[in-house]
Amino acid sequence: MKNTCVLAMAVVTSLAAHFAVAKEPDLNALQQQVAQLKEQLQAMEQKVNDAVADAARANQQVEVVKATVDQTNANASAANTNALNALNAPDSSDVKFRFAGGVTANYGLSSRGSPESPNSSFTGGTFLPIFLLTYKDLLAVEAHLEVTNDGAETSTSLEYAQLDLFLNDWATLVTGKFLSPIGQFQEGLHPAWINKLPDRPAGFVESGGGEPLSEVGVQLRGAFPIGSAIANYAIFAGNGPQLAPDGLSLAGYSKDNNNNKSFGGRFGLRPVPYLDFGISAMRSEVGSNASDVLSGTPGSHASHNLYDVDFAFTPPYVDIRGEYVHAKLDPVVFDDQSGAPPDLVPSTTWKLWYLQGAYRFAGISSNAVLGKFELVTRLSQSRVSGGAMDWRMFNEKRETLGLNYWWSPSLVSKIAFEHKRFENNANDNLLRLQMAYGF
Amino acid sequence: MNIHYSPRTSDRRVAQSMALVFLTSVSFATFAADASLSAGATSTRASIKEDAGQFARGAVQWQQVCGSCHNLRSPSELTNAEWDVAMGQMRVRARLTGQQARDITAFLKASNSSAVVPLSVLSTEGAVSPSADVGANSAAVPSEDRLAVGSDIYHKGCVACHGADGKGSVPGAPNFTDPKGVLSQADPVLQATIRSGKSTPGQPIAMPPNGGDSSLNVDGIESVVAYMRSAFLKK
Repeated sequence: MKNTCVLAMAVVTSLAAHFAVAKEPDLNALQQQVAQLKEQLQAMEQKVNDAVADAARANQQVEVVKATVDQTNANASAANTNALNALNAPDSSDVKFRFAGGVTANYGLSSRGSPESPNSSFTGGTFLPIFLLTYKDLLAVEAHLEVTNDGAETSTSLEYAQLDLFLNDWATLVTGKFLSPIGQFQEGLHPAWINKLPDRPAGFVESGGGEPLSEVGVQLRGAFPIGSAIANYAIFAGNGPQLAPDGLSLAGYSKDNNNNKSFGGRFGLRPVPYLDFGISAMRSEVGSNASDVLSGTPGSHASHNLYDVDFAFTPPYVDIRGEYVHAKLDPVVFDDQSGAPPDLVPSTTWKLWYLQGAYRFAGISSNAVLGKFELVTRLSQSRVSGGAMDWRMFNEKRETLGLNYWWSPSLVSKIAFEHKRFENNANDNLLRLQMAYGF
Repeated sequence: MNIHYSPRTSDRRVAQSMALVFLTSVSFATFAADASLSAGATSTRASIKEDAGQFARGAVQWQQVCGSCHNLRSPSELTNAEWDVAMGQMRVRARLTGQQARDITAFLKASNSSAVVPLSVLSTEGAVSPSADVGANSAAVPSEDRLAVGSDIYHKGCVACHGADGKGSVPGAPNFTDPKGVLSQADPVLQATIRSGKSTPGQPIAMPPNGGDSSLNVDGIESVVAYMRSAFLKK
């Protein structure tokens, strides 16, 4: 038994020794293989890193090539512009001319149609040429025509023609027929490529009794700094409004029919960037339109007083603005041109306002297409009382929602839905489309 | 038609005449005052000359004032002479001071008629060259003098749109403090972009060639790029 155990131990020891000797070379081989694999892995990592670096360099080179192409295009554009500058008028020229203006095309679909006023119409085709000229830094000349077609005839009217004499940095003397400085819409916002909706606010028409469009006379205007704020002013004297068959007309008349001038102006303040406030006032004496009324007798003339406040807040992508007009015409003898004797009509009061907001999607999206859309909404109201007419047929509240697409900074397509609620007339829903370009 | 002038009407006409005379007098008084100033060094009319900050002021006014009523047209839409005329009209319509109008005009004209940069110059001087080493962004530390020059250029012009903090102060201006933003590009790319200008689709404002400063040379562009990296990219 003892010998058997010794023999077994000897066998086990021999086997263990044999296996131990046999395992040692294999482990070394494995270690060598691992080392080789590590080296290969490092080499591959280096190749990958080199490839990534090469790709980055290639991308950078592509960017440089793109930039070079951009530079080439910019050079071509600059050369073209410089050539045009040289051809058209050198900067040193005393007299410089520019032809500007706008063109609009409209379509309207109304829920309240009639044979006289179809509920679906293409309208417009309006051409608005503006001739501009400057002489040195002393004078600017502006003349604006309005060429329209009502379907049968083409008519041309002069919206304004004015000479702007620059007295100094803070004062300009304006003479001729000029846009009225009262408020903000008529003077600054009514061109179709600037107006953010296809229609005007309720009551802000070209020749009604609310806000005047133009005036013929003389105006002193300008702006000056007050600290970091900029104040601006305009005071004018002009021929003033006249009575018209449908009430008062504030369109600029080239002749004063009663030798009474209207006076008015606006004071505005831009206290901080993007914010503008303005207050305006205008006073006129309007003569009766009846031919047999003695001057100086009751109703032979009437005072017309107009007040206006406006504001605008226009940070990038945002446009919020509003305006309120209050005007009153005292009692006056009025001839409605029907053949009936003229009457002393009671005083007439106009109250107009609008509040408008717009947002350009470029503020929230860098998408090239989405960024060119603009959402617009406007509330407006026109309320006239007194006078010779039943204004309840026309008094309205108007709610408008629109969407614009700006093909370029001055080329726009607009679509808008209008809901009009009249005081004593059927409501109207309108779909308006407009294409406008300013050049 | 019988017309009788009542005392009230007569008084009113006298008042109106006086008001008209007053308006005219004020106009010519302001003109005369300015003319007398013209004899001295502080003339407003005679001081129509470019100053260092005019371009930056013009860029800001263009965006804040012109943009308050209508979209901003590309300066390249009109020739320089046409911009002179357009700004003559807009000085009246937009209720600008004379200085504001001159600043905006200077900005538009500078943005419009930047000097043509020969590509051969760009490539030979290394400003833009596809064969250049474009992988690195200014490995060498810029000198204090170069940073000072770049800072001066930036704060006289670029700051108007890109802001003192480099985060952009007008629509479309990039955020320079973003480590993965435009300043992560190689120097030659940035320099070429400054040279050619940059337009971002959908944005109302585009950066004009040379940032609107036609006098900006290659050395100036390199300096301003070095300054922007130093000032806005945190290490």
